[in-house]
Parts: sequence; structure tokens; C-alpha cells
Amino acid sequence: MNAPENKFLQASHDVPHAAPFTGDMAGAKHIGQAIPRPNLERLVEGRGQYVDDIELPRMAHVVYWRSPVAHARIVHIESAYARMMPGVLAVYTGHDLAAICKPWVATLTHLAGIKSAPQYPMALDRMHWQGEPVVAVVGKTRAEAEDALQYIQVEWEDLPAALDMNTALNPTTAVIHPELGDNLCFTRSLDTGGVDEAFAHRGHAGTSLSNCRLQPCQFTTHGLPLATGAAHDARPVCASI
Amino acid sequence: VRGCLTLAVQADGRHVDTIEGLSETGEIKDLQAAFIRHNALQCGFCTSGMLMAASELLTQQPNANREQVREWISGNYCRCTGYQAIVDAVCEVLEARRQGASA
Repeated sequence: MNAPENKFLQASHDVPHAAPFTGDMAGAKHIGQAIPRPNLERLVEGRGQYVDDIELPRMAHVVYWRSPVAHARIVHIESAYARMMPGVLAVYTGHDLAAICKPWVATLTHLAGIKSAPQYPMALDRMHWQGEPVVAVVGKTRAEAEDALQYIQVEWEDLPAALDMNTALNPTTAVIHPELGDNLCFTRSLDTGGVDEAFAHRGHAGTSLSNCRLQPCQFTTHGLPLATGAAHDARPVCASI
Repeated sequence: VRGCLTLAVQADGRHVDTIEGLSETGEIKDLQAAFIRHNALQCGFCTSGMLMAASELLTQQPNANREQVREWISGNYCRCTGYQAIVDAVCEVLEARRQGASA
């Protein structure tokens, strides 16, 4: 809902280190200037175009059967009925895509020692998180693909999940990616010295800090229409997010 | 109404206004201009709904104050602007129309 108007933010003396910038502004061309945005006019007249508005010739639509659980082994995927539904062009599983798409390993070079399991486009033999795509149904229309999706049957076997950051490293908590050894992604110690002494003198027993997630995931819509060139050339020639 | 929740048959026999229609007639030109002037939109996805809601407010409650503007559009989500510029724009048009009406 609407953010409350902050009537309590007072002048800078209430906020430490908030002194106004006093550097040389002579060369600053854009700061403080209202930059005209020529595309606004069509947006205020309902003439914006978003991914959902884009209809390409012979465009197909893909929808996903997603994991309803946090951790499970996939026992069997039954897609025969879905394939028989009208308008269905294809049904793909994680293994189908893994044959043509290499996994992504999300590590950062400036964070030495960070671990990340290979991420495939869709789950292979296990579902690792609720919402992970497991089966893709491609239809001539979105409605036909959605209808066929109702006929996908996935049999799975629940596995113990790691749901709490505070217990994720306990020996009794399931290791979600056994090949990584444990559930620890990354650790860094910063010791400038004197910590034990400071705690001893101040008598602090310790504290707990809560922070927001630092990896934002927008919950606005995401979409990607793709068009290919000639039949022998599968490179996308049109992409939009 | 919520366009995504209202079937066309539910509007049978009714008059339907759309953002395209109001743009054609020019009746909310001042509101659209105020949105642009205040940069009250980024991606524009919510803008049609905001304009339609604000247009209704201008008709129904020409004396609305800032709080009432906020309450009126509280059913419309905007993920870009933080609402301030939208409320600024609507309040400005309310004031301008009031002045125009009394002049």
C-alpha cells in the first residue's frame, strides 16, 4: 500500500553526516535539472507497450509446473495427457533443457571462497526450492498451455528442507547441495584486533543484527518474447524484457 | 473497476470509459500534463489506472485534500514512484480546477 508520507524527517542537524554537498557544481550539467522524458506522453495515454502486448507471428507461449515444496526428489513426471491437449506444441523437463543449456554458477570473484551449486534452467532430479520450474509446457496460446498444464502429473518424494538461516548450519539440518559439503555459501571474518578485550570491558553479552536481503528480486513482471531468424539460425533477433 | 477482474458481460448496458477514450476527448489533458510535469510515472504500467482513478476523484470530490487523494488511490499500486509525485500531480489539478471554477 502507499508509503506513509514522512513528515518527521527534519533538517540536516537531526541526521548526522548529512551536510549538503558543497563541491564545485559548475561542471554538473544534470544535477538539479528536470530532464524531459519524451516517452511519457504515450504512457499517460494508455499507449505503452509491455511484454504481454507483444504478439509475434506464430508466437508460442510457455508455462511452467513449479515445485510446490522446498526440497524433494522427483520420482516421475507424467506428461502424456498434457501432450494430447489441443494446441500443445511441446513439453520439456529439466533434462531436456540441460542437454542444450549449460548451468549458471553464481559466484563472484571478489568474494573469495564463495560457493554456489550449478543452477539449471529447470529442476533435474531434485526440486531445491518452492517455485522452481520443473516442467515446461509450450502451447499455441497461453490459455491452451495453461489448460494442458493441469494435466501434468509429478510424483515426488519429500526430502528434509533447510528453511531457517539460523539452523541451516546445524549438523542435523539437511545439506541441500551435498557436493558443496554444507549449507554455507560464504563467510568472511573481519578482525581489526581488540574485540575480545572490548567485549570484556564493556560487558556486552552480544547482539543480533537483522538486515534486509541484499539480493533484491523485483516482483514486477518478467517476460521475454523471442523470435528466431532463418530455420538454420537459432539466434534470437528480437528480445525484450 | 479492475479491468482484470471485470468481464465484458458484466458491463452489459453500461457506459465504459477507458484511458484511450479519455485521451481522445481531451477531458483529462490537464491531469496528463500534470503527471508528465511532476514525473509521476516511471514505467507507466500503473499510470492508466492512476489517471482513471484520479479522473473519477476530480469529478466526485473536487474539494479533496491531500489525505483524501491518498486514500482514493490507495487501491492502485505503483512500484516506481513512491506515490509522492502522483499525489502532487493530482493535488495540483484539483487546485487548478477549483481556481478555474471560481474564476
